[in-house]
Amino acid sequence: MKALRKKIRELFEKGEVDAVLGYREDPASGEVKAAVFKKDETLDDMVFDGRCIQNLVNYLPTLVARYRKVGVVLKGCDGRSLVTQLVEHRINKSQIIALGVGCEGVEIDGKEAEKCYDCATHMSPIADHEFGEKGEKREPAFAGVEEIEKMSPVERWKFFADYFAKCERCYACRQICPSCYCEICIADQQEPKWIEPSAKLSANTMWHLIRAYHLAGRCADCGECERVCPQDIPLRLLNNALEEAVHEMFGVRPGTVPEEVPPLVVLNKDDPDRILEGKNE
Amino acid sequence: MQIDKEPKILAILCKWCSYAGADLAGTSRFAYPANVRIIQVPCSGRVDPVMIFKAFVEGYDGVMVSGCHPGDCHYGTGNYHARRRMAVARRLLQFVGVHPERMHFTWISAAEGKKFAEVCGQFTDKLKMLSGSEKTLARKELAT
Ligand code: SF4
Ligand code: SF4
Ligand code: SF4
Ligand code: FES
Repeated sequence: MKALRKKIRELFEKGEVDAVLGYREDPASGEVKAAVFKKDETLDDMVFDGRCIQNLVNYLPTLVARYRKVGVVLKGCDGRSLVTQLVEHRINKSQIIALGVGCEGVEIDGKEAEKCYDCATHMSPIADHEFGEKGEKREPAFAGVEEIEKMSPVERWKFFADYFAKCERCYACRQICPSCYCEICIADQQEPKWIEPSAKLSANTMWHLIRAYHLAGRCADCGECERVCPQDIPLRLLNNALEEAVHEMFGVRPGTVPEEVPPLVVLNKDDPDRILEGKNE
Repeated sequence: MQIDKEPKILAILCKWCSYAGADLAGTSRFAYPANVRIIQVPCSGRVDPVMIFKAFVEGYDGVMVSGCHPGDCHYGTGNYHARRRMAVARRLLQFVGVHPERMHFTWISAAEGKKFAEVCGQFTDKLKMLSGSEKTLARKELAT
């Protein structure tokens, strides 16, 4: 933390950043929230620990529109998220100073967040400056996905239909996701209207399938969608199932390799036809 | 229940090969089951998985997508994009409980009228074997 603060002060002094996006502990309430730090402001209340849950990358597009150069504190998952934004040219790297911090996991409601068990990179894969332990790259286990895969088709549908039926279509999952940034989301599109706006099972099913599909190969597993869902719908299951599928078929783990193009925007003439049958070998 | 026995199938076919193949099946008088409803798209690269999702939610028993063989796409590469998309869409649908045999993704050329009729026949037979109670995703709020 000391080293991080020192570096940020130095960046401000040298004029290398105009603003830094990080986490601040509110001295009165003790709550930790995303915050923008500017040149002559104190960094004393800047923190980095298990309470720094938010994915700050979601705020970057607004900040780069306002400031010439922005520093951003990144956990491993947020770093993967940034990689996706960069390859999709949503944000230009020349406007960003990436401050990667070795992350030991965050806590949600007093428990280690589930996404942290599956974290592929505890350090941001893209970092101009690194702080703390880098940790090892590892393969996520996705135990939840495995559980579903043991079920029969009918059992699976029973499981998901119960959740889909509860969805209120508040779109919090979409708003919080850095990768969900379409100018007109398919869910708001009127002509053709693929998804009816009312919150009923059929329309909700459409929403959940489309959201998951649009994030295939692009979701960094930051877990934000699941965290903000007011109905506790296990959205990570869908994201992770597709992350596994894409990894198996195309060998890509979204966000873990800087400059790797998302697998669904490129083609490969050598993809085997067997993937059409859902087989991998 | 007789209703369960006659599956409704949606076939999304590219204009240049598979639709022409279906046409050829017609003109050559190869019979194929009336269960198949065809939608023509310019290229398999036009097939957005949302179309497949919608078909299942609206109650289709099976969805078939077919384009030109790899290397033969009229627009060069549409079917390579389609292959990736269909593969991922399949995994997602299977994950939430659509039976794997309810989806059939393949390549049929303009000369393969016979293959088209056979594929439709086999797919229809397979769907007849699956019981109606295993039909997932179909809009339940209408039934209740
Ligand atoms: S946040 Fe939850 S309830 Fe809201 S739209 Fe997303 S899945 Fe549905
Ligand atoms: S889909 Fe969810 S977990 Fe994936 S990047 Fe978006 S918010 Fe994060
Ligand atoms: S759900 Fe799809 S269309 Fe909507 S914002 Fe996300 S990626 Fe875009
Ligand atoms: S035109 Fe047939 S697949 Fe592209």
